[in-house]
Amino acid sequence: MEEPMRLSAFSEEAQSGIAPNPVAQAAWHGLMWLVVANTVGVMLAALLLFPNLNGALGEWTYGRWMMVHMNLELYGWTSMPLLGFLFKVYGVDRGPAALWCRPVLWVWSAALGAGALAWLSGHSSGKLFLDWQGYTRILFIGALLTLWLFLLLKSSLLSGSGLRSGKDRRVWWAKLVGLVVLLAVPLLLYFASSPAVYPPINPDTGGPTGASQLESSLIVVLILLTLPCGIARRLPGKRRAIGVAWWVLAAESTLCAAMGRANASHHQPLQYMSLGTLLLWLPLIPAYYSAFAWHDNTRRWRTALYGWWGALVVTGWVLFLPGVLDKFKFTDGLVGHTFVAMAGFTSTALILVVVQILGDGGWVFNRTRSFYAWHGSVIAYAALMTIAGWLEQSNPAFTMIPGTLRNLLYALRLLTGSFMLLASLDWFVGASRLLREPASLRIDPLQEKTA
Amino acid sequence: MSLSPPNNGQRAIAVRALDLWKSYDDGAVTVLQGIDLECFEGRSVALCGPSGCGKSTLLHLIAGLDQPDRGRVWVNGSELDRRRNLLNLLRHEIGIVFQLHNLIPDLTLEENCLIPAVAAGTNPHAARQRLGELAERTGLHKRLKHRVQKLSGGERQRTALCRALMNRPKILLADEPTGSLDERTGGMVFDLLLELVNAEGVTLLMSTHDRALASRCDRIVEMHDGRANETVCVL
Repeated sequence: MEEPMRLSAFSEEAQSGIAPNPVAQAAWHGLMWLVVANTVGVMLAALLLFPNLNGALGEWTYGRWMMVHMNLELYGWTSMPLLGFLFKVYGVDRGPAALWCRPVLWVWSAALGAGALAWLSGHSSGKLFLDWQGYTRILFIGALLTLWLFLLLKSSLLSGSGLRSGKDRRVWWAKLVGLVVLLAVPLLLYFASSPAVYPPINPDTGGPTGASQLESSLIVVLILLTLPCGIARRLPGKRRAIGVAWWVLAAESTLCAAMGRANASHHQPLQYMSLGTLLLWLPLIPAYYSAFAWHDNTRRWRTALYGWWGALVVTGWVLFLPGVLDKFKFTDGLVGHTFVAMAGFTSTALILVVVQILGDGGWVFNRTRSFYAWHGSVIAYAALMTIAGWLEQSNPAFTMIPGTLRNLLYALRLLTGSFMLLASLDWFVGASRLLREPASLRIDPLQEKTA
Repeated sequence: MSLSPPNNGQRAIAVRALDLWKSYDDGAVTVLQGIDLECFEGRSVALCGPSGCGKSTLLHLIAGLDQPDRGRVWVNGSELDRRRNLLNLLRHEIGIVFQLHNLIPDLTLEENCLIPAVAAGTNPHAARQRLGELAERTGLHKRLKHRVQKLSGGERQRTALCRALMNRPKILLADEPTGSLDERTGGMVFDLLLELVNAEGVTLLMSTHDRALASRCDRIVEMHDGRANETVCVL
């Protein structure tokens, strides 16, 4: 007897009434990597506290796990939710195209998983955050190009349908420019991973110059200004706040272009004063974001974003100042600042975007326990590392040779890391539930409840 | 050619290198051309030869700091495998003394020496006790809290010797350990080196230009153009 034909995974979904929610899927993948990376982070914090445990790791040493931890945070957690953003902006999160989002996400995750195994095996370019080497370099670039081709072929860009008004045409052009810029990412990543290419460094500190810091910070500002455009409606009568922000960005970009990038010491006034112009963005970002209509669920995340943005800009500038950088360079103090940047600011911005797109589904990130566990832990972590950095600058062996104070600080750090892991687990479990929600419960945040 | 000295006393082989080849610049410069070498435990072996003959490269391959193009290395009976046992060997079985000591200048003598013990997971109390013992023997006990920057060349090399012996390795690899010191200081450091390896029963494999120092080792292996010849076998 002939066996009944098996339904494909796609049609099974269609029959069960659970239509794919690509943004939730992207958030789920990002959170999965966040949980994995945070677990590795907790293990690393434990290794620093109990060096004896290193013996049990064999050749999968602290250094290799550190690479895994940092890359999974960057290319997993802080990247994959943005895929959800791209799905939404390019309109591939609905209709037949939505069925293809899941394979695209899995291709990315598979490349990342292969990368993690390769790093653990000791294969790395040796460049921070550009550790892709050999076949994993090809795999990850392949994942990026898969996403790019998917956006190109499955969005309405090629057909150009629905371009009735001038606004439609402007949006079409903006999306096209965005896609061209996105194509540069895999190409740049491929070349930058090569040992032959390296960024300019400050000969005084071995770190980046003020000009290159300003340049990278302005790219972050550009991303911050772009994010609401694709996911939130502009409120009437708020053109000025938006215009001012873009004009300031243009002025600072001109300043940055006029400055020499390489071989500039942080002792030069031009370097630290130009970096100081970023302080203008402390009031500008909240003003800019208030010009858009946001879902109710984003309220606490917007407040958190303004707080982390302020902390990042102020601490970044202060740490770069002559006399301060000289003390804190290569210490745990800079680890604390990096934590403000990644776990504080970047994570908050990502969650804000995801909550806005998910709309009512944003409850996943709004449980009070995980919200305060995360932010409280990041604040505590940054404070602990600043103290450790301060002690380290007068005693360089402070972090290397276990002592009572050092062990106390590292034990507290392990504790804060554990709380962050619990918070990320809470979000991950919520996102897993969200994937099983019927599509009818989802509401488009651009049309519904806004604050 | 296999370089195995007569094994009087039936000692175990501490280091064995078989058919080691190494080249640089994509094969343009061949440094080692099929080296075979065996060292018995508790013996001292000097690698002699002109600059560029491959002495340091051979030591680096035996220490696992670099990989051969071809060939195999065994340390205390275990074949060196970067994926399996290299770190364990480096933490517990092999000590290394470099020509330019490679100490961390911002740290004190004590801190520099404790780092390998921390990496090996040694109990802090036992590590400090071991350091005290080594510092006493090397005459550095009054300099423990001094930063490396404040130490003389001889003191730095003695510190490097203490650091290399902290984890009680069975094999000590020394790359021109007196090369950066004047003759008198170099002689003193070498005396100390021999005294310590003899007292601790460590196998010493050392590269040197100095024939006088080399002649005080149990064996001398002469290297030339990436090949090795035994010249003197005292024991």
